[in-house]
Amino acid sequence: MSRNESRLCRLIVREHFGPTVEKVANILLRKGRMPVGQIVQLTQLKPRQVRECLLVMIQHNIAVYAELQERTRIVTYYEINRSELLHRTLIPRVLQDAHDWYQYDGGLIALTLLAHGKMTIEDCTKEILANHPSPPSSSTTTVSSAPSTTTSSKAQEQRSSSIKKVFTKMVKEKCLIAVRPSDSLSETDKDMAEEKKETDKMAMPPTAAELASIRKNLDVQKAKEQNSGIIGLKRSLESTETDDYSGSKRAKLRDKDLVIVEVVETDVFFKINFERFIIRWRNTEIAKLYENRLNPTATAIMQTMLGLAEERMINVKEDFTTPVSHALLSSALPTNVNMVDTLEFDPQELGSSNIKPKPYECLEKYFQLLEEDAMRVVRKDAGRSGQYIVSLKTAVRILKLNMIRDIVTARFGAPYVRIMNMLLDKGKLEEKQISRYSMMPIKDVREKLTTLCTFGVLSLQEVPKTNERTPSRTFYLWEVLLQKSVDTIVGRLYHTMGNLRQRRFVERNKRAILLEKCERSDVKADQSLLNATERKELEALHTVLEVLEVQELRLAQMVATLREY
Amino acid sequence: MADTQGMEDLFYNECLKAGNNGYIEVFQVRGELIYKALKKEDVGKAGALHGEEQVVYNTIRSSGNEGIWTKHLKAKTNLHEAVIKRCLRVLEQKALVKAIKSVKHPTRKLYMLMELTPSVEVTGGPWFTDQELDVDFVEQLTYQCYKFILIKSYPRDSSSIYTPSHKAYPSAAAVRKHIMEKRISQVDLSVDDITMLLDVLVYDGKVERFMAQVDEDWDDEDGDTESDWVYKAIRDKKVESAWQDCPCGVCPVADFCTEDGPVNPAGCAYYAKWLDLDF
Repeated sequence: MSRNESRLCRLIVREHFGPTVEKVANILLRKGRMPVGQIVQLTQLKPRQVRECLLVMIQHNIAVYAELQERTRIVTYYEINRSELLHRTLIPRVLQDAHDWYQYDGGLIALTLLAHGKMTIEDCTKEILANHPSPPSSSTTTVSSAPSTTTSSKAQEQRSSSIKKVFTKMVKEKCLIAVRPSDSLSETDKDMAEEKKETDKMAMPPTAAELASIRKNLDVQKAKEQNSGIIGLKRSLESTETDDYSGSKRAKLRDKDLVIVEVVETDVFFKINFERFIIRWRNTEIAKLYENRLNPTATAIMQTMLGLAEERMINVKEDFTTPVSHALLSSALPTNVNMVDTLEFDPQELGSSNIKPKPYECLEKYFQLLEEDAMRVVRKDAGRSGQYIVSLKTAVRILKLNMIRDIVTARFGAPYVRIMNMLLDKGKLEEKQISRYSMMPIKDVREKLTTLCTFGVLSLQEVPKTNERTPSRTFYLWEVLLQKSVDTIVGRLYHTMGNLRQRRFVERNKRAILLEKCERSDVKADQSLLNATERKELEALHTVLEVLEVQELRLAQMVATLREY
Repeated sequence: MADTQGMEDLFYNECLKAGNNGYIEVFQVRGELIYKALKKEDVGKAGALHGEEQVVYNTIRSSGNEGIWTKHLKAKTNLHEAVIKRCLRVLEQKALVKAIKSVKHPTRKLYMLMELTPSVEVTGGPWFTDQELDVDFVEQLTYQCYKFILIKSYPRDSSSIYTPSHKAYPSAAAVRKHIMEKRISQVDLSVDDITMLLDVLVYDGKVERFMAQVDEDWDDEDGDTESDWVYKAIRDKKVESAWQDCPCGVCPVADFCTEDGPVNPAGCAYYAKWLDLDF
């Protein structure tokens, strides 16, 4: 909750919801949660305005509330959901990927849901049909015949059903998630209420051990709930004639010409599930680790493996994936993956016949390579043969370290990373030892250590030899504490992101008059009302804004790696 | 009683004579005098010396190939500094001792016998020239090691890899052989020296170290069976960090930069330059 983070939060709210909401959010960000009355007092806004601002933020899932009994009345406290708010920096990537994974309609659904916070399937479809009545002829695969210009009712219906189909698919793959009324309550308050319910049952105040066991049980319960299936889906019977789902996965049971199909409930609201997007990004990143170490084929295998395990991933912070079997993987691999020719066999291994083994055996070899790789990310599942699991915890640690290494190399140079790696390997070391092992003169090492320490990657531990703690009789040991360095770097990244965003406002304000003119309805209709200089200005502005936006997104992805994975 | 006294006196006198001729060394340990006979070949050199010079010479000799610092010399011999200086000058003139510098304490002047070669502790091993770490030499060698390991780690075709049973990953001894055969280094390097270089490569994240699979016909050239570690290179990848592409990633005053302080993004000159460059 550094100042940089709060500032970035504030600037996001300013850009997405305007200055009035920013005022309310600012107070909540700076002073913590509070009831409406207090917000009114601090912001000098009208109570009605404050309520409206809070409503907007709750609609967009960035504010939560908690109701507390205070003597005779119930007071409602409002609070900002920081993590959800900071996820908004990733929106451009989410839109892009929704478009890539679910085609044109997927992109539109994501866009509409982000613009409205949360929506039901019916409202979402209606909204899309109103704004984008016809799909672009090139990118749709679902709608085949309807000519794009006609808005006949049949075409309309077809389009609406195709949108719904994509929506259902997104819900099934957990890219969209149902919002229940309880989601607007703050998470900690919910936990506390659950805990209170348990402790109230006891006759005596609970001991620490009892409390711990209660908490553990509640955690287990929560995990079970998360795992228990997708909220907002129900099963219904449809006749096969109208059913044009080609994949056999979707139709679970077949009974003559009726199939059970899972459809989205119409009265449930949905929002974008950022976490699922982050899980997928992380999986891709993990797979990419092998591209440089082994080869693209290994990456493809990893990607398929993680793709198979993805369905059963609950959240980003899990330690292991569910096991994936050899057989399942080999059938799920894309056909263009060439496993035979990308392996270089030793002559004696091939024997005299000089025939390369079959793909199935090659996959076995690849698994062995992945398992033996020094990163130790892929493991055999204990007790079951032919099953492999991925240690997400290890992989994520490597991703984070690589990210920090890249930052340090780009910023300071390779020798700095040498020191960092050495400390990661050996734990705590003294200046002299570092100099000896890294084969660098001690005066260089000293300078590098101080630089890294100021940057926040290294920490210093003093160990006095005697009680008087004189510096000459003290060991100074350096070490790398991953979590601490991650926090410092994320803080700095937030600072930079805030700067980029602020600069965007500045650039826009500089040309406010021009932008205002562009917004005029007659100018919108006829671009020729702008003269040459104005057009040039506008183009320049767009270039600048694009540079700033893209840069901010790239930093947001770095933060996602460091913080969310 | 008188006889024993006489005997002792006699012994003492004889010793004194022998000491003067350089056959016996005299020490003082906890207030008692200790006598030590010398080897014949050592007698000749020290024999020509007298008094303080001899004491200084012997002290230096006892320090072996580690050398001794003048201050320690002073403490051990209990002689005055000026005396020691004079003695050292004489000894140096006679080419009996030499002055060297230590890697550990570059400011200290160490003395040792002329005929000895300074120990690795003092010189710092092959990596030091003139008491300073030869950074260029080390870098060149590590680069050569990396190149060698890289060639051995991957097949020619860049998209393919060796199977898990591939065994030809080089060990430190193999790397040494390559370096010596190609005459990359003029200095003779031991396997330990090469291991040091390879460790640096490991820390640089360029190679990985792992235990070789046990194989009977593995023939170690140097008979060095202790190290079963073999090395595998990791392909070089382009390091890039998105942060570096905007001014804030390299900004020297980023710590002072606040939203509306004297240094702020709105009026930032670095930003103006960066955004101007793009069109």
